[in-house]
Amino acid sequence: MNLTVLLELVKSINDVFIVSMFFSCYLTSRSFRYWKKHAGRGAVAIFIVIAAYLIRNISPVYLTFGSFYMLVNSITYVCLMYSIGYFFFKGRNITKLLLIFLSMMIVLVFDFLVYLIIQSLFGINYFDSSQLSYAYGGIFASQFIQLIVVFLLRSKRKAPLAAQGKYGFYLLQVIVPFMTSLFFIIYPVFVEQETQDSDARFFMVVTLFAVINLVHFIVFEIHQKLEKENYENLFLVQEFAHREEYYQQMETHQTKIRAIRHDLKNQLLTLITKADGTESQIEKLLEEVIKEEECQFTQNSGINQLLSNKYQRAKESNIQTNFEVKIPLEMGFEMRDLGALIGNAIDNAIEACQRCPQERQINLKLIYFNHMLLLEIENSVAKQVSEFKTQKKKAFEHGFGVKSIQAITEKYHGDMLYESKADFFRLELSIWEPN
Amino acid sequence: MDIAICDDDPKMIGQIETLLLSFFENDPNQFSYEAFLSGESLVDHLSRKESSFQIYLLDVEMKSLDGFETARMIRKQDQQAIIIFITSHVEWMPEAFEVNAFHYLIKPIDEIKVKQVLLKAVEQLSLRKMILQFTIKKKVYTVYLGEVEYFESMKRKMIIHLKNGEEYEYYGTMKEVIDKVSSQLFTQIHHSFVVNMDYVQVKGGETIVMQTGREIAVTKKFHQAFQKAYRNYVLMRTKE
Repeated sequence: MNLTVLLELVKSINDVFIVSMFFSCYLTSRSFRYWKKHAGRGAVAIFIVIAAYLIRNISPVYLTFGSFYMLVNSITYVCLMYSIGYFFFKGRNITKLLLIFLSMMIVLVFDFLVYLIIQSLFGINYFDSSQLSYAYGGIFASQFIQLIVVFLLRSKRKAPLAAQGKYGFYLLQVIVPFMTSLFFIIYPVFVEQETQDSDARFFMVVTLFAVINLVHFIVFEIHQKLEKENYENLFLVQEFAHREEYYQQMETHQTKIRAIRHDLKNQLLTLITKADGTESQIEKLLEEVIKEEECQFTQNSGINQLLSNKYQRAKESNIQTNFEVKIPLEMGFEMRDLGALIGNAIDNAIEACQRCPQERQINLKLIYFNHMLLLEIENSVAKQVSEFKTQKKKAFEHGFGVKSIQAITEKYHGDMLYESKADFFRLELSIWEPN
Repeated sequence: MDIAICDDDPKMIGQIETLLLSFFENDPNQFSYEAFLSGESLVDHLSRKESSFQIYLLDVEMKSLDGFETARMIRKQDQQAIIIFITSHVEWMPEAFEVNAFHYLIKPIDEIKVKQVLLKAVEQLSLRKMILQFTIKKKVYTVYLGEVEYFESMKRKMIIHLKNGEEYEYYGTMKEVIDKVSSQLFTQIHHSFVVNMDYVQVKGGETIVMQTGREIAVTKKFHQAFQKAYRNYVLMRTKE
């Protein structure tokens, strides 16, 4: 009897864990800082959740509900899960209730699935058995499969950008729960059937596996956090590179202007003293000034520096450029984000053009209107680009520019779209000023 | 179409008048204009609410209240009016995008260019002058699409929210509305909301905020289409 209670408690902890994970797929949990601020509320929350948890699991031991058992079971389940949702997650109540309902459906579906598997393998109905190891073996097998489903769902919805599209990541996450589930299907038949005495041993095994899974989960979370930090560091390195480029450009620009001014002074002085050949010299001076002025795309000096920098690079690679820029002096975006976004986009375009044997062209539109910034780049390509990736050799840089564009677009609630035709590639994106 | 001309140089006003008259030669009843010799007098006129204009031609370099300042004052009252700046300093122009400028003309004024700009303005305005008709209790109502802030569908009814706060409820479907309204101006962002992009203020995480302050959710299904539509809208508004 005692062991039943303990197993029931473990089972219920699993339930709580699964549902919390399930909630976290669709709702945002309250932050650690929130609990620090509302310590009293936190204590009440924990007390209520634990109370609900104990009532749910202890009451059936002392009270018999008879045919109402299923109803009482469902009600306590909903109450327990709702108290978790209510205290620990932000969101609308209707969403929370819907999620609880869905989680109940998931439990039913997977219980049935496990029942089918065991029935077809061994011809035994675990769930109907009065022996502990059979009954709880089935339940745990089902629970760990539910855990796999919730994990996969969570990775799909909340995975950091760095891990997207890596299958190893998913495999790593589900391998331990999967083995556990398999174990609980097989264990009762092969081990417990031989020696029908030891429920205590079964409980030990259950605890052991629960701990293994817990440790695996924690290690995995830490790994994911590290991965995320690592990825952010990459961003910082790239941002730093962009900034350095920008400052260098600025410095050369300054030097050039200083040189022009110096020359201008001297040449004007000579012009005063001698009168012959004045016109040609004035023309020469004008030419120089105009050359420096050519790179005036916008009043916004940060963006202008960036664009003229890229413009020079494009020119060096014999690329025809056509920039249409309409932006105000100041915008509500962080300059470093804009630098990375526009810089990366143009870099990609230049890179693609460089692989073209002839016909190299880049058309750029950068337009600000009503809190939205629109960027459109068209560039010629050598062959059709099927996947939006760079062809850089260095692994470090591989596809990184694109991911950074994607991340910044998401940060500003924007959207990006690309289109590739036989001989050109087009990227268009919009980002919104934070209000 | 009502046009305001604001310039502190009477000669310039005369020149623009001539150009306008020749542009509307074929249908002189279609338009009227008023001239103002300073930004202040125009702002003053607007604050007295005697009449409003759809197109403003503003000189940038006016004494005291300059063209940009005047434009900002106009924008406070009217987000939709078309503002055309006239300037002799093209390098000052980027600032105009803060106030959603429509276009600018460079002095000395080129007749062909003016006609292009006006044609474009008329096109934009006629898009907003398109009408929608519906019946409530056997009575036919008509609204200008340019006045509609957004459409909302509720069960079997459609609710039209106008920018002045008025609402009309009639029996109809979303599909009918989408077929009737121009996709250049309207876009669906939710299975029961279609908004006029003229009145969009800014986009947040999962909502857009209208100029009236009302927030409407953008659902995942329509998110990409909305962004695409809005980009096209911006390109249309800023095209030269």
